[in-house]
Amino acid sequence: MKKANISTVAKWEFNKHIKSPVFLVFTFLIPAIMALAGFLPGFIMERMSVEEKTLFVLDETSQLAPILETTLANSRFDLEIVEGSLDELKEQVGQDKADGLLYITQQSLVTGEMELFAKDVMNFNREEAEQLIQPAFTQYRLQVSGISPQEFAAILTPASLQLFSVSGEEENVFAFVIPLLAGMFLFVSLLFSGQILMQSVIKEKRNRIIEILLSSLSASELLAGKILAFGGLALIQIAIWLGVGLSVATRFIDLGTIGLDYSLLFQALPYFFLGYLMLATLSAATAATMKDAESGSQAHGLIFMIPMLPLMLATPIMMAPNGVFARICSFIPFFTPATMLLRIGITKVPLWEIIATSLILLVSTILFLKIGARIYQGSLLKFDSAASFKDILGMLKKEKPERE
Amino acid sequence: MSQSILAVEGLTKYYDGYAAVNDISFQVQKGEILGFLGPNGAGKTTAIRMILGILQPNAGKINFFFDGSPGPLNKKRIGYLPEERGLYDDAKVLDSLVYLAALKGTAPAEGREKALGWLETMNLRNYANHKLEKLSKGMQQKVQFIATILHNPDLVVLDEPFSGLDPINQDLFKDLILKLREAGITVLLSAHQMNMVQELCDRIFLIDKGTPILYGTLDEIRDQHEENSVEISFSAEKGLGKYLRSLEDARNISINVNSARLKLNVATDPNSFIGEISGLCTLKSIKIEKPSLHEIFIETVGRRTMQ
Repeated sequence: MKKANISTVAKWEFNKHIKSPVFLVFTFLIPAIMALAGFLPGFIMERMSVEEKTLFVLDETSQLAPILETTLANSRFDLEIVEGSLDELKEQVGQDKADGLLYITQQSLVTGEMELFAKDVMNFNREEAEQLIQPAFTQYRLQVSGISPQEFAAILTPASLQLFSVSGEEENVFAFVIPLLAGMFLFVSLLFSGQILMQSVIKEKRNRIIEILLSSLSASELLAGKILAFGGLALIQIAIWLGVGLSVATRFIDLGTIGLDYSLLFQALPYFFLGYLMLATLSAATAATMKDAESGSQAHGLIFMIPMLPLMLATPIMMAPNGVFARICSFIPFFTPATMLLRIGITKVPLWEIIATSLILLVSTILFLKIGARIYQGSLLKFDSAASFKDILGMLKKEKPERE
Repeated sequence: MSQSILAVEGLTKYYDGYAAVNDISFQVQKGEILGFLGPNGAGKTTAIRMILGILQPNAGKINFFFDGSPGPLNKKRIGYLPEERGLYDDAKVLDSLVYLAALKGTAPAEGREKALGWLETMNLRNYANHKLEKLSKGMQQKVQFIATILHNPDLVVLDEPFSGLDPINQDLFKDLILKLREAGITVLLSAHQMNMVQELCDRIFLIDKGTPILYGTLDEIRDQHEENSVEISFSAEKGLGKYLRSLEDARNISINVNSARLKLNVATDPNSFIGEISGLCTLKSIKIEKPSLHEIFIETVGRRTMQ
C-alpha cells in the first residue's frame, strides 16, 4: 500500500466531510439541542424558585401560621399573616398586594387540605409549595402529640451510607465515568462516522467515480484512507464534545475533588481505536456490497447494534464486572471494546485478561481488515446489484493480491 | 518498427466458468491510437479493467514499456475514462480535478494550475468553483475528460468516450484525441462509432465473445476483406437489375429506382464491370471502394452471431 495515496484520500475525505452540513449539525447542533433540552427546564425552575413571593396567610386556627413563619423563614416566600374576610383578601391579591393567599381552616388541621389563591397560577409551583409547607404540618402534628422540637429534629435526621471496598478504599462512584464515557463515545462516533463512511462508499459506487479511483489506487488504499479520515472526524467530534462537556461540568462540579482516574483513559484507548478500526472496516465492506443508500442505512443500524450490545446489557456487567457473563463478552471480538471499556472502569481486571483481550481484538481487527478489503474490492464494481452471499464467498476465495 | 508501450499476452478471465475474455494478445505501440472494438458484451471493458489492475486475470501477461524495458503497471502514468463514469457531484469541479490529479501523483498546486488551463480550453473556466451537479451533462463529460489527461499520462485508455455526446461535442472529443496523439500520448480507444474509429485509429483490434477476430491497420483489415462496396447512381434502367442479380460474385444487392448497392468480390475487374453496366443504364456515377470499418464490423460480428 502506498502511504501517499492513503494520505491523499484521507485528506480529501476529511476536508470534504468536515465542512458538510451533516457533520456540522451532528457535531454542534444536536449536542446544543440536547444540552438545551437538559438545562433549560432546570434553568427555568431555578429562576422560578429564586423569585421572591409575598404570601398572605389567613389562618383561622392561629395554630399553623406561627410555625409556618419559622419553617419558611429562609425560603423565597415572604409570609404576611393577615386577618379579614376571604373575599377582601382575595381582592387585595388581585390588586398586586401579594402574589398569593394561603387559606387555613379548622378542617385543614385534620385533613391537611388548604387552599392557595394565586394572582397568576402559572407563577406557582404547587409541588414546591407543598414541600415547603409539609414540615410545618409535621411539626404541628408532632407538637400536638407532645414531641419536643429537639426530639422532632432527632426524628428527622436522615440516614446516610458510605461504601468502602474490603481493601479499605472508599468506593468512588465517578471511577467508571471515563471508561463509560469512552464506551459512549465509541457508540456515538460509530453511529456518526460509520454512517457517513457507508454513505461515502455507496455514493462513489452510485455516481460511478469508483472505477476512476480504482484506476489510480488500490481498493485497500482507498479503504484505508477513508477509515483514517472518518476516524479523524470522529476524534474531532469527541474532542469538541469533551471540551464543551468538561467546561460545562466544571461550572457545577470541582473535577479535582471527585478523583477521576485519568490513567484509565490510556487503558481505554487501545480498545477504542481497535474497536473503531474493526467496525469501520466492516461498515465500508458492507456498504460496498450494497446497491443503494437505503439498504446501507438499514445495514448500518445492524452493524452498530452488534458491538454496542454490551452497553445495552451494561447492568449485568456492572453488577459483576469479573463474572462469567462479563468475561465471555470480553473475549468475543465484536463485544470486546464495549465490555472491556465498562469493566476496566468498574473493577481491577486481571492483567492477563487485558493482554489476552487486546491480542484477540488486534488479531481479529487485522483479519477483518483483510476480509473487509477483499469484499470491498470485489463489490465495488457491482454497480447495478447488491453482492450476493455467493459473490462474497467468491471474493474471499480469491488468492491473487491486487496489483497496485 | 515503433516501440510498444503495452503488450498483452494470452489474457483470460472467467466468470462462473464462462470465459469473458479468452486468450487475447495484442500490443499498443507508443504514440498510436489503437481501436479496441467489439460488440456489447465482447469483453472489452473486462480486458481494460485487467490491464488497469482493477480486475485480476485468470491467465495471461500484461507488460508495460513506459521507459523502454518491460515493467509492471504504473497507474500514475495511465489516464482512464471508463464507460461507467462519473465524478463527485457534490464537490467543486476544480477541487475534484485537483484531487484526482493528486491520486496520479500531481502536486496540488500544479494540478490546480493545469486544471484551470484545461477548463479555460474547454470554455469551463467560469464553472471551476461550481459543484458538478450544477453543470450540464455535456459539461460534465468535458470535466471527466480533463480528469483523464490532467496528469500528463503516457497511455490514455478511453472506454466509449463518445457515448452520450451530441455531434458538436463528439467532434470536440475527436479533436482532443487527435491532439493527444500529436503530443505523443498513446491512446487505447474503445468505441462503437465506427466512423470515428475509422478517422482516428492507426490500428484496430476487434474481439467478439472474448476472443480476438481482427487485428491490424485499417488498410490491412480492409485488404483482408474479399469484397468491395459498390454504389451505382443511374437513370433509364435497361436490364441493370437483372444483370446484377445474375452475377455470381455479387451479393447483398439492393436496387432502387435510380440507385443500386451491392458487395462485389475483389476478383471482379472494376473496369469490365463498369463496361458491362454502362450498356444497361445511363450511368450517372459509380463508387467502388474497400468496405468501411462499419461494414466490416457488421459483416464480421454478424456472421459470427449467425454461426
